[in-house]
Amino acid sequence: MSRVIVVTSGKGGVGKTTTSANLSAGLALRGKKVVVIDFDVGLRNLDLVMGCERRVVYDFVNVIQGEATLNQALIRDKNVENLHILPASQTRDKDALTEAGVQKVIEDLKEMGFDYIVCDSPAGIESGAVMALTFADDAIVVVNPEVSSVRDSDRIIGIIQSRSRRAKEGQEPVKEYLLVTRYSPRRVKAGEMLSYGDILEILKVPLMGVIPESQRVLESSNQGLPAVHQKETDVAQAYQDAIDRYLGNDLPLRFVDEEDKGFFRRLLESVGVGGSSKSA
Amino acid sequence: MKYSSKTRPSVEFKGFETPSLRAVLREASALALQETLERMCEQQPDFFGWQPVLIDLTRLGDVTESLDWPAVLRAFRSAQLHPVAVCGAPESFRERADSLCLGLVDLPEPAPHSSRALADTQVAQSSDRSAEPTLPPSERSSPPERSAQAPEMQAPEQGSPRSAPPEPGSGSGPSSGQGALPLLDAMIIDRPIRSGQQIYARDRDLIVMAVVSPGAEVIADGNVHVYGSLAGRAIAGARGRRDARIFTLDLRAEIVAVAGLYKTFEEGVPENLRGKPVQIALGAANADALEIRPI
Repeated sequence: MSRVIVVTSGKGGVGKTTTSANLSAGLALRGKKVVVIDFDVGLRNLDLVMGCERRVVYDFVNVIQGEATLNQALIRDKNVENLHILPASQTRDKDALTEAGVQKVIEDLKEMGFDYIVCDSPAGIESGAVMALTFADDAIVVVNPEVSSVRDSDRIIGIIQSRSRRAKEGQEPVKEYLLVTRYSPRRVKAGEMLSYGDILEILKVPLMGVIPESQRVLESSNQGLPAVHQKETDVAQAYQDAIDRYLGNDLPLRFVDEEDKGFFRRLLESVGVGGSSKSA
Repeated sequence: MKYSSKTRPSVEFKGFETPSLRAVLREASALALQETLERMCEQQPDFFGWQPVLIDLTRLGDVTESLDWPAVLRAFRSAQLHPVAVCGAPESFRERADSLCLGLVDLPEPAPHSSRALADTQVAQSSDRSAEPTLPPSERSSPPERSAQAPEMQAPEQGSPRSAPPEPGSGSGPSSGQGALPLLDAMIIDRPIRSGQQIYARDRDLIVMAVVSPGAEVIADGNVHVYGSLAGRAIAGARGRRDARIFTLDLRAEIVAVAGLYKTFEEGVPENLRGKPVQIALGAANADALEIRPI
């Protein structure tokens, strides 16, 4: 039974594509058959982050317009089995994505046996973003701990609730998950940033996870290797926790307190190795 | 060609909701009106943006006839307002109104500050009306309707300072008496109302059992109850019902309005009213002001 997941936010630059990449890779690493689709029309990013930009021959719009088959357009991920990418078009024509066309592609992907179809939404609330959420069963709303991001996420949640297929056809509503990204516990403590508790208070959507701000993300996108592959990093672990929670395991939040540096680092620090030295 | 049921009518009526204004004239002077309107539009000539306007003459009493009407209409038009009709004018004015191509409309309830001498019985009636509950308890026997989805109504008009909070229905057809009809069961919504959404409970109360986000709008012809924090905008008595109220557990709104009278909170909600249950209604003493009182 396939599940269509939209990764959206309203605001741009908060971590949708990073999350789509890590979510898809993470699910595939757990043995699921996953396809991730870039719904941006004109600005193609997902292929860069996934490291397959040199292998793009056909794209989403080519498939919709019948210029290529899905098999021709889908790119197999080099790093993990069972993961495929459907890249975005470079055209600027927003009408190229039609609802009927998108519906057919999603239905065809379901026929191909994918467990999860991840839709990486563009920023905004215009046609690309609406198209990405139209067929969703689940929605991961990505938000930064910052007021305009929270406001925009609120807006997009409203749009999911009124313009998704599930809403329009009176089916069970799209299941919403909140993912807070670029979280800095130090800045929250200093009062510069909203805490995840504040965000929950405003948005009232179940929390799927908190991803810490990290240099890793920039490095990952530069290398074209989603952070989740670098298993020992905080970002990778945070994404893995988030995916576990999405799959139903109730895990405690990590990386939300300033002191949470991980067991070994604390141990090493306490015997004066690495970081600040303390008297034994 | 004689119209029969087989021929298609040459005109079809559909709903059209547009913000409209009621211009309450305080002096019987076209010149004063012109000057006031010019001052209002000085910074922004399209401040009003061609909204329909209902000219309220209740305060002028008998002086209505002697007004320089062509000048009055010119003044409104040069401020980009469409005079559509007058209200608060005596029936004797109808012929004149016709000749000016203006409608003559009745106000839903008697305006409390009329300079006309009100008959004693009229005054008694209006005070009784305000004490009357919106609906006798016995009529609320059937269970209230539950709204499964929060419907996204018409695209909200954002960011235009010129439009007073929309008065749904007041622009379309005679609105007299509409707001005073008995209310149907309340519309109940138990999910947060998100930024950009607009909910309108027509001819009924609206009950929201969750928060109203900043940038959202909740509107009812009856009362608005928010069992959560109320940010965004709330409008009660949208079609003129003056005894409508807004109730909330935590007021953080940008704008509140009752029966067309609105209040903004540019400096935020006053300290003594923050974070506690409040009700907002037209003042008991001064019905031209909104009062906010803790519950």
